[in-house]
Amino acid sequence: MTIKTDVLVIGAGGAGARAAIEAAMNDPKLSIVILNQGPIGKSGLTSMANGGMQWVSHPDDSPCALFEDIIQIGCYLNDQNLVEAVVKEGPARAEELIRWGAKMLPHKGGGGGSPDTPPGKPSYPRGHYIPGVTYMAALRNELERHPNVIALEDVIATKLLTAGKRVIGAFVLNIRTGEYVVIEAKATVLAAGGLGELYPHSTNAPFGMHGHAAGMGYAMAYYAGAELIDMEMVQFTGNQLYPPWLLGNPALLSSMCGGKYVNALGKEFLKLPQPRDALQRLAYKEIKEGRGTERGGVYIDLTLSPLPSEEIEKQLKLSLAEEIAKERWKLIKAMSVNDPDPKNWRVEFTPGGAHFFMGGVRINERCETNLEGLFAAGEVSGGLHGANRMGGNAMVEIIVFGARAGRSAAEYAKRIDRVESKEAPEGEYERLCGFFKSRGTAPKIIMDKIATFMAEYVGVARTEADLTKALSEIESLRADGLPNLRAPQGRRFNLGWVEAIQVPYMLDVAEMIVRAALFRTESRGAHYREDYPETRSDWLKHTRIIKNRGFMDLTAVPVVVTQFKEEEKR
Amino acid sequence: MSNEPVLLKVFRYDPSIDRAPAYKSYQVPWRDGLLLLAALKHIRDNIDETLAFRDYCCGCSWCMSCLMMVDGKGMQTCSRPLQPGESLLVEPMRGFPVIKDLAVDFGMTITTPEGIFRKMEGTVIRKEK
Repeated sequence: MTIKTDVLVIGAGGAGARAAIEAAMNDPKLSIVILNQGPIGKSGLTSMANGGMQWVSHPDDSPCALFEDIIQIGCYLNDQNLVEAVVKEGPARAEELIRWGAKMLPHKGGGGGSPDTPPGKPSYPRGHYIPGVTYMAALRNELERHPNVIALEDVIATKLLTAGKRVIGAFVLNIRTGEYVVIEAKATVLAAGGLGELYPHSTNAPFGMHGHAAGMGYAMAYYAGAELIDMEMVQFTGNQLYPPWLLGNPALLSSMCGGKYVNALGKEFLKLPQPRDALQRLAYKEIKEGRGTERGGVYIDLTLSPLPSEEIEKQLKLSLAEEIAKERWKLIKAMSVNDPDPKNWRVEFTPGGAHFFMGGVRINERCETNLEGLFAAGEVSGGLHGANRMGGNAMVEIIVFGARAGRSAAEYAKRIDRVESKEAPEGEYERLCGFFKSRGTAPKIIMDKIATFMAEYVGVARTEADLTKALSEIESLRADGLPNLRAPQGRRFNLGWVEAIQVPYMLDVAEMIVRAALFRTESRGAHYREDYPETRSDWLKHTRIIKNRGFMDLTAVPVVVTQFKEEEKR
Repeated sequence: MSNEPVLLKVFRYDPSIDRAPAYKSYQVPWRDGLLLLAALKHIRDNIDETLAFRDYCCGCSWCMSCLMMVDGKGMQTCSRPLQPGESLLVEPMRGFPVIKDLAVDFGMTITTPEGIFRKMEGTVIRKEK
C-alpha cells in the first residue's frame, strides 16, 4: 500500500517525536506520518536514557560560558552555529517539555556539578534530570493531541526514496504483518538514532538487550547521497560487566555515590573531573598494561566512597530514578550474590562501551541536509558535539533540533509539490524477502563478528594497522557472510528477520567509521590514534563521507566557526 | 547452590496461521544473574528462532515493553531474576491484542484511557484489511 503525506518523520525518539509535534503545530492542515521501530515511548534510545540534561541555571553561570565549555570539550570540532542553537533554545524547550508533563527529578544528575567541565574551568551546577521514560511519555501525550499526526509503531524504514537529488519518502516494512508500505512525502525528517549495537558493549543495548541502535539511519542517508561528517567519532563510556544486572550509568556511581576508579590491584588510577574521552583512555591503559580484572575491566569502588551507606543508597536510588525503576531496585537489593549494603560494592566495568555517536548526517542550523526534502535531527545528525559530547547535551539536542527539523520540514512541504516515486517497491521487498532461505548463517552470528572486530580494531585506541585489519574483516564478511545471511522463517513479528535486514547496513556503517578513522591522522577527543597521538591544528576539520559512483569518497571540510576560535582557549 | 536448568512453558500463537494458541516448553541453562527476558532471548538465539517477543527495551525496568504474564501475574520480565530449577508459565500481557506469541500491541490503552490513542499503533494499516 501507499500512504501520501506532507511530512514523514523516521524515528519517534525525542528528536523525531518533537519534529512531528512541531510540524503538526506549524499548520493543522499538514499531514504528518511518524514511524517507530517499537512502541513509541517504550523503545528506542531516548526512553532508555538516564536523563541528564544541562542548561544554564546558576546565577554565576552564563550562556557564553556554556557555549565555550561545549566547544572546548568537543575539541573545537563543533559546528558553532549548532552549539549556539542548543545553548540559546535549550532552556525554553526543556521548560516546554516539563509543561507537557515530563517529570524533572530534584537531583542534578551529575551530583551538583557539571560532570565534565573542561579542566581548570569553574564548574557550575548545570545538570538537570528528566528520566527518558517520562521525557518520552510527555512527547507521546503531546503527539496524541494532534489529529494531523498518524503514528505507525513496529515499522522499520529500509530505504529513502529519491527523485534525483531530492528525497521523496521511504520504503517501510511493517514488522507486525511482514508487509510493506510505501510512504510518499514532500519532506522527510530523519531521526533514526545511533549505532551502539555495532559494538559488543554498549549502553544502547545493556546486557545484550536490543536498543534500536543498529545505525540504519546513517546508511540510508548515505545510500540516498547525503553528506556524513566525523564518522570516526564514537563516544565510549564505561559499560557494566559485573554484577550482571544493570545498576544504571557507571559514571553516576562515581559522580553521585562517591565511588573511586580503581584497578585490579586496588589502586586508584584517576581522579575526577575528567572529560569522558580522557577517562576512557585512562581506564583502557590500566587494562592494556595488565592491571585489569579477569573479566577485562576495572572497578568503581564504593567501599572507598567518603559517603556513609545511607547516603550512597540514597544517591544510587536517585541515579536509577528508583521511583520509576522500582522493580530494578528490588532486584538489586534481592540478588543473593550482592551484599545489600552498597558501601561494600565494587562494580566492574569495561571502557569502550559505545555510548553515543558524535558524527552523522551533516546539517545546518535549520536541520537541512545537502539533499532537497531531507532534514535530520538528533543522534543521526553530526556536527553539534564535535569530537566529544559533553554529558547532558544529547537530551537537550534532540528537542532543540527536533523542533527545528519539524519547522523546516513543514515550511518546505508547504511550498513544494509532491513528486511520485518512480521506483517499483517490489524490488526492495524482494530484496528483504531474499533473506528467507532454508540454510545459511543466522544474523546474530554476523552481528557478533562485526561487534568483535569493531571492539578489537576500532575501539578506544586505534592504529593504521588495526584499522586496516578491520577493513579486511568487512570485506571478507561482505564476500562470505552476506550471501549466506539467513532470516528465521515467518513474516509476522519476526525480529530475526529485522536483524538480517540490518546486517548489511551495519557493515556499511562500520566501513564508514573505519575509513574516517583511517583518514583522520591525528588524535582529537574520542578519536585516539596511537600512531598519531597529537592533536594537529591543520586537522581542525570535519571528515566528510559522500557516495560517489558507489565508493565512499572522503574529504576534509571546514568546521563552522561563528565566534570562538581555538587560539582563544583560556 | 544447584545449577539446574530453568523450565519455561511459553505461550505460542500466530493469529495469521494458528487456529488456537499452544504452549511449548523450553529448558534454559541457569547462570548467575539470569533474568527472565534474557532467558527468552536465549531460547530465541539458541533453541527456537521463531519465538516472538519484544526485546527492544531499556533493560532497567523503566520502559515496560517487556511486560508479560508470569504464572498469571503481570510483570516486567527484564527485572525478574530466575532461580535454579525454577519452572514458570510465560504468557502475553493480559488485556492487549496478541501480535505473535508474547508480543502484544500496547498502543491502544497502556498510558491513557481508551479512545485517545485511536490514531496511534498502526490502525491505518489495519483499516486496509
